[in-house]
Amino acid sequence: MSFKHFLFLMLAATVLTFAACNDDDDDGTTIIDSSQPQGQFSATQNGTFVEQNQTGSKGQVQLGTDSEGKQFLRFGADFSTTFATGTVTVYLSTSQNFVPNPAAGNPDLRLIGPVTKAGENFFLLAPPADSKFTHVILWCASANIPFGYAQLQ
Amino acid sequence: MRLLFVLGFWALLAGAQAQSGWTRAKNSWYAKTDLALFRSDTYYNPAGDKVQTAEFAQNSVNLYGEYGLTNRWTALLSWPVLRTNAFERTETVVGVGDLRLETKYRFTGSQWPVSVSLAVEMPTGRANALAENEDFPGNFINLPTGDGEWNLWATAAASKSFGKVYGSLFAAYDFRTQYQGLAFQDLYQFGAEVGYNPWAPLWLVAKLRTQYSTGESQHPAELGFLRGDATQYTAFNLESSWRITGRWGIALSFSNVNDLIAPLENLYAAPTYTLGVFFVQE
Repeated sequence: MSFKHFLFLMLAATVLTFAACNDDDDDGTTIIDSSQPQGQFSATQNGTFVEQNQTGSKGQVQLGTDSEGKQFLRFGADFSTTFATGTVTVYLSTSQNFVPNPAAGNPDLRLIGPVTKAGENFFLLAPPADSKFTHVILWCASANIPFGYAQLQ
Repeated sequence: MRLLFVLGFWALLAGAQAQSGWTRAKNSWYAKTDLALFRSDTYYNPAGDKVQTAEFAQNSVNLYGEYGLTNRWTALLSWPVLRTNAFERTETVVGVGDLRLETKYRFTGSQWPVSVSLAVEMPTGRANALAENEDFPGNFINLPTGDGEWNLWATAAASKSFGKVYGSLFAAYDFRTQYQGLAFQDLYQFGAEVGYNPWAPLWLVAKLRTQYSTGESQHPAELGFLRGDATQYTAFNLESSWRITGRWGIALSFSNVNDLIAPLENLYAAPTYTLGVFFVQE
């Protein structure tokens, strides 16, 4: 075998190897975004955001499960607040007031995470939320001020 | 949170000086640099409600200058050349503030001086400056060092001296423009100033200023808390300036806000302490 033939065979093998790898994309595998509900989302509790400190907070919020039984917090398509000031953090709370108690493990709050855009948002709750949490709070952590709250009913 | 954040606070400093009927003599000038320290955990929201927040701190190094173009015409400059903003659990953001250039013309004689001035305030400061929360990495708050818009101030002032005492009255209108297509509400101010010269090198000055908005913010979420839209207040200032030498002097001032005349809306409230050095060339 000449060196030219050897190079050709190596090149062909490389191409076939990559082609075979690419075939994996077509094997029917679907990447699931586990942070988003699968199938039908069914709401069990509903609420409406009440604006605080003229931040423009408004919209519907729901607590519910997807078709796989995973629990999610859903902000409706009509949700908005002010994002010009920076990060807005979502909490579940046992009341409409933000009552931190870090020494006791913050029993009245559960941090859900930041919300970064208006409109529909889903937040996976794993483990599911304790029934003691009756409100959703929008909170500016750096300034320690509320942007809004919703009572879940 | 000018909440402000922030907000709202640089409105207090803008236009806080030179509101008198007098102008400088031709080719004379005055220059001052000062350090202003402010911290507050009390924010008055746009509805006028008092809100307790994390402590907000703003420190500024300011430059101020006046130059007599003619005996009746003075050029003025005011610029926070260094400004730091932070909440108690965030990193500190640093930037310059908004540059204000002003021209003042005196229409009458120096016995009963009446002047009109026009000032342009340019958006030289950082219109957005994100500070990360130290307890929650990835959690940011916007603490701009400028309001991000062009302002045009028109001021009319009149003064009168009575031996060792003088008094001034002024009225000012701030034509605010827009930020990213969102229009601000215009502002207007009224104020009075009394000065006393008990000893040749020493001046004691008391100032009162009220600021009103022409209406409620049309974009409170985007402009209100963050850029001082529709901020209202009553501010008072006590200042002493002492000429140590013929040309050099130091100035100390204390200022605060209350709702004595205009209400407190959309700003942080607390004392501001200022220490400055000035130079006069007459």
